[in-house]
Amino acid sequence: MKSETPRYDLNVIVSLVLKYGVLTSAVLLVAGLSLFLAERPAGLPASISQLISTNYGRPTLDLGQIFSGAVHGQPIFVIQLGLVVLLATPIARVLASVLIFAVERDKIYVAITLVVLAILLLSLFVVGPAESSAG
Amino acid sequence: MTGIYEYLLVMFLISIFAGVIGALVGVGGGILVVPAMTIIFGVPIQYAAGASIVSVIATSSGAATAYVKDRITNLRIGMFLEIGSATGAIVGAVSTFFLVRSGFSWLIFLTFGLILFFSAYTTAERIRQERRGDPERINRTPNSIATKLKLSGEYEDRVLKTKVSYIADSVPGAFAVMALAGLMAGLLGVGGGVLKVVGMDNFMKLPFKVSTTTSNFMIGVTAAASTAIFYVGGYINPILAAPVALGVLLGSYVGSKVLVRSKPISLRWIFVVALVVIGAEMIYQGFVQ
Repeated sequence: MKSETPRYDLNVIVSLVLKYGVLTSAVLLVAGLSLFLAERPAGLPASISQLISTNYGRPTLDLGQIFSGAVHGQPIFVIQLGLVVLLATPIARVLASVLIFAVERDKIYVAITLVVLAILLLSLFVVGPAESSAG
Repeated sequence: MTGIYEYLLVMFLISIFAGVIGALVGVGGGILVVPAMTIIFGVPIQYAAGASIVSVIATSSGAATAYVKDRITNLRIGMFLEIGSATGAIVGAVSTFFLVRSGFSWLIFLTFGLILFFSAYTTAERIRQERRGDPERINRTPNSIATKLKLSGEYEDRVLKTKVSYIADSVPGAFAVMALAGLMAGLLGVGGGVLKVVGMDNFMKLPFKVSTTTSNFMIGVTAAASTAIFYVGGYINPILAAPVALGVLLGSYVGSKVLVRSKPISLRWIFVVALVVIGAEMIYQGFVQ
């Protein structure tokens, strides 16, 4: 019984973190799209091909810029914030798994999960940027 | 049909469907999203692949809440196999550049297409066995690797109304398939979910719901590993990706509720159809390139 109780609690916590992460993302996406459709002045792209040729809404890596843009209600940054929250959920899940295995004192799986996390971070901060500058 | 309004509406609807199917059989739904974007709306393939990565993560996170709560997903099996998948994904993503340059990408598409057709055949064969009255071929015989790595578990099936217990079989074989799945994911900008399900279903002989929900968990992590390449490249366009993300989130949430109430054999049928469709699309791509 002693080992069952914390495991259950953590599962519920992970489930809640995911639920609110996903909900936050969905709310931001709906709000951003609504703002985009409501405020779209004539100067913004009218078609998909125009959107791509003008590189409209090219995503930025500057989280500060995304956040302040979103706070000021700029539709493109509200949408980007929603996407960033969504893209971060799998990483949050791996982080939460490290905690789950640590609480269960499962050393092998703490190690395995840390390896997965390391591969993820490697791809995010080393391979990704290097690839796109090469391509 | 290239207006922004049409795009937002049509892609939202298609993405809902992609999310439902994706959550049911453990795949990312990119296979519906990418052709819809490129064929109907003429979106360049890199941008479609960028939205596809978003759809894979949305399928995974949207369905996860239900699966974590019902405790069908096996976190240990998923995490262990993810080492193979994530490594494969990075190798795949890096080598795409060289393969496209050297003109060998058609060979990749044809090979994966044939693997998927073969998997469709073996899965259909198992459905036939099950129909003849053989029970689901779940492994319950212990082996040293599964014991050492605790690659076993049980879940409460709401439809079968029993506790289903299982032990992972042929772990090295399944691990190799996961590396291949990761390679496919990295090369083609998808989640590689189909091959992950095949690895857990055919090699580890897990219950089908455990295979699909664990694949659902894994595709999100694998896709996250290749997100950076698309994001930094500027291919995850917010306007193009937003309706896809929203539709898939909604669809996969609905799909996850349907899965816990479905019979494993029905899910397996949907999986066979998914394998044939995705396999055909790969082979078509192979000839086009």
